Amino acid sequence: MNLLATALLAAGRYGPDNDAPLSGADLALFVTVVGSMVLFGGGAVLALSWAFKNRQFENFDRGARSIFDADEPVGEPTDAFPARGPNARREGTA
Amino acid sequence: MADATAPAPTPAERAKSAAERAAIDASCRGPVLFFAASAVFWLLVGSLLALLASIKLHSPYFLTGSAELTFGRARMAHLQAVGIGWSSLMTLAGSMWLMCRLSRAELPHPKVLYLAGGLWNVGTFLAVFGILWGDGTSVEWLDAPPYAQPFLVAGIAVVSAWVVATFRRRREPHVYVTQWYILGAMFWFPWMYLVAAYMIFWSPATGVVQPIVNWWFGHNTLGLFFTPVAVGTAYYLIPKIIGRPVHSYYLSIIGFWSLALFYSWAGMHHLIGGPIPVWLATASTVGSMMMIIPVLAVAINHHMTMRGHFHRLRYSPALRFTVFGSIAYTAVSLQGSFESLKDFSEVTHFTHYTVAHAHLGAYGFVTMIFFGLLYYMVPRLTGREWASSGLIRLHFWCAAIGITAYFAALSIGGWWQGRMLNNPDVPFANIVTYLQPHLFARSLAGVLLTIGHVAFAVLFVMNLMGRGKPRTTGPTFFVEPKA
Repeated sequence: MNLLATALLAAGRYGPDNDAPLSGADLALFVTVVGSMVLFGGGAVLALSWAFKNRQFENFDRGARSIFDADEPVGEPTDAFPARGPNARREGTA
Repeated sequence: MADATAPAPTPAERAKSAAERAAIDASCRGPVLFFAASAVFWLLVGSLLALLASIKLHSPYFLTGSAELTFGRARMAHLQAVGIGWSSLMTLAGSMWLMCRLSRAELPHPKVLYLAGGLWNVGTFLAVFGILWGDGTSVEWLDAPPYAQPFLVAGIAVVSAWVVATFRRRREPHVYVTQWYILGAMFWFPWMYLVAAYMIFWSPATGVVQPIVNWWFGHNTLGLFFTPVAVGTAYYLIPKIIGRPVHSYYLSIIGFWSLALFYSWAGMHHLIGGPIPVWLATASTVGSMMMIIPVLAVAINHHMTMRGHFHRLRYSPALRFTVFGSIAYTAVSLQGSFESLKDFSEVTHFTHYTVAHAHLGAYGFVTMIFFGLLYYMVPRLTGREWASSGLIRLHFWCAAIGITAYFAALSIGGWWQGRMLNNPDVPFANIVTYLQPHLFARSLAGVLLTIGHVAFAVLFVMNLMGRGKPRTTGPTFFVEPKA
């Protein structure tokens, strides 16, 4: 959105009330802004379409469990307070 | 991946799984620890610069006589030390480690990342000390002298490429939400940095385009670089530590895509009241309010995942820091949304209220989650537990009390500062006098935070030096027996 505004501001310099010639720097600026919009927007669209095509959004339960494995399965905590004092107690794994 | 309906894993399956994870962690151990150690170093440097700048605001004759130590330079150098030093290096360290683990893939050619880390550190050194020498640019968040930029660009380019390369080698077919956040950050930040550097320094745009680009970059550094990796870290650590899948995976995906859609609109609320088109500031306010969607998605998810497991906060330092950071994320994001309203901005803009808000985000949220990440990650990389629970407790309480006191002191002071600034009957000198105790309280909070950082740095160095109980069941990731 902010880049869009930048592009519009840059474009506004070449309106009917402004006869300033288009310099190379101005053109580079305009290309940068428009290119960024295409890259950001296009990147998001490509990523989304890839995710749908690869069925990333079809099984949410599986997705949520994908960080666990045989050694650290669901139901086993993997951290504990590493103390020797009165609060020391190890739960599950570490 | 574990299946709820599958039979319990056999010892052989457990051993195989543990060995795979050990190999993955071993592949990224060196670079990740290098980035993390550098981050801790810059945190200490940034803390000292912060204290210096803070004290000067209520005791202006403190350390005068040296141009290098004036407030303007110290404050800018502090921002660079903690921004591109601590937070960025931790963002990159976390991205590398999490991407390896979640992709179940080893880091390719890890030695190249030492070069990337070296480049980033040289860039940070030139940024911090270049500013102190007087070469700062006065462009917020891009204060670093131009000669530091090539090192930073090269460093981030290599790390981003390596993170993507790791992702492409993945053995886990599902892309976990944390990976979405990391990939987003690795794509967004390099491009933002290049565009901002190009349009502000290399081929400067004219007029109001510069501040527009400046705040588009500045705000998005927080929202599209630090925030995604910190939120993604919490999405990994909380379920992993308590052994429970995230409450609603659907909600987590909504959270990521709504952040991707709305966050980049928000930067212009920094220019409300400034000489930019009104529709632009208004659109930014709308974007800021729309950010309530991803924030609530994350807040509901983290809270519901933790439900029934809050007692574990007593034992796990990683969980304690991470949950603190997650709560702060909700608080600071909702606060930020309402701060973008023009009526609210009329009071708080250009006051210490904004500084308090920024620190709640950068410290209460991002830094606390990165501490949680370090407490979880480092023992798994070095094979050693933390050496002293006393230092952990000192670190946590200094950080928690410090940032709470900091936020309270500047929020209250800043609010009334804004109210008085808007009242033409209040002499400016009265406002300065009113703020003195608030600024003094901020310095005390800063001292607490620094003590916490020193405590953590001692723990970190001890761990790297092998001081600390070895993880009893073998390699870094082995299961320890229940008490």
